[in-house]
Amino acid sequence: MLDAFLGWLGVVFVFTGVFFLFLGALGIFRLPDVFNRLQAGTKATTLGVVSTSIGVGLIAKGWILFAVALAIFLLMTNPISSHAIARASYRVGVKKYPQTDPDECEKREWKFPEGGEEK
Amino acid sequence: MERVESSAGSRYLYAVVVYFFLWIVLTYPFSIHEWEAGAAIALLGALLTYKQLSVSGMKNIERLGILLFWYLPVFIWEMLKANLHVAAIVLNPKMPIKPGIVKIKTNLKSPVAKVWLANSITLTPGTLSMDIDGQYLYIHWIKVKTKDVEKATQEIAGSFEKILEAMFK
Repeated sequence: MLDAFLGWLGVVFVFTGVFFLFLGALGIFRLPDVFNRLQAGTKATTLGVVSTSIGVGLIAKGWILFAVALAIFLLMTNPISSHAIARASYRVGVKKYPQTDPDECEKREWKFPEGGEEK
Repeated sequence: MERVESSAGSRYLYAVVVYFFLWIVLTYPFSIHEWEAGAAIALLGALLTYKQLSVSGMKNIERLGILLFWYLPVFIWEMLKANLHVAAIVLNPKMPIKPGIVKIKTNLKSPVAKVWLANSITLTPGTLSMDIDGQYLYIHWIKVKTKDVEKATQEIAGSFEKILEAMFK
């Protein structure tokens, strides 16, 4: 009884995850510039993958610990990679959506860390 | 930047605990032989890497309570809201976006706390942290509500800053 219930709960988790992953892909396709795309990409893939892996952990017995460990790693590392992409693409001057307003980043003087290169 | 370090012993012990716990999780069908090997490797691995793993050592274990019972519920709720927000924008045929990069000011001192704040901001509705400069964070906001630094701080970081202040005090 409990097994069947957990299995169906897992299926619900997996489908929620798949739905959000699809939305993330759609967001990357539809949104105008790299920063907006990163927004959709990061949020949707994080919840999507976490939800999918926890669902798999509920369906397959004995995998829940791995699933939770995977979810924790993803939650900690996924945003960091998106910061790195956003920061790097701003610094190399990727074109932003023309109606971006305000742009506080523009007003700041770039201080490159020790050993970094000035543009 | 402020960087309060705990004693080497406490940091070493914390590394051992973390590695041993990870080993137990990753070798799941529990067996005592696995645990013995895990203990040996944890003791040795921690000796090599405890300096890189943490600065505050065993204090991190005390923080786990706040993390699980205060931070995590807020975080999960915010992340669900963020995804529904993205869904609403992406599925809307007109795509109601009004992006901008705003600046917010944080009172958090320790670098680790700032990392947590930046990660939390990235996974909450409509915001993506882009850069950091001392006490200022630059946030890409998909639907700008205010350009004022104070108000933006309240709007974006308000809910998490209190929790992280309690966690990393």
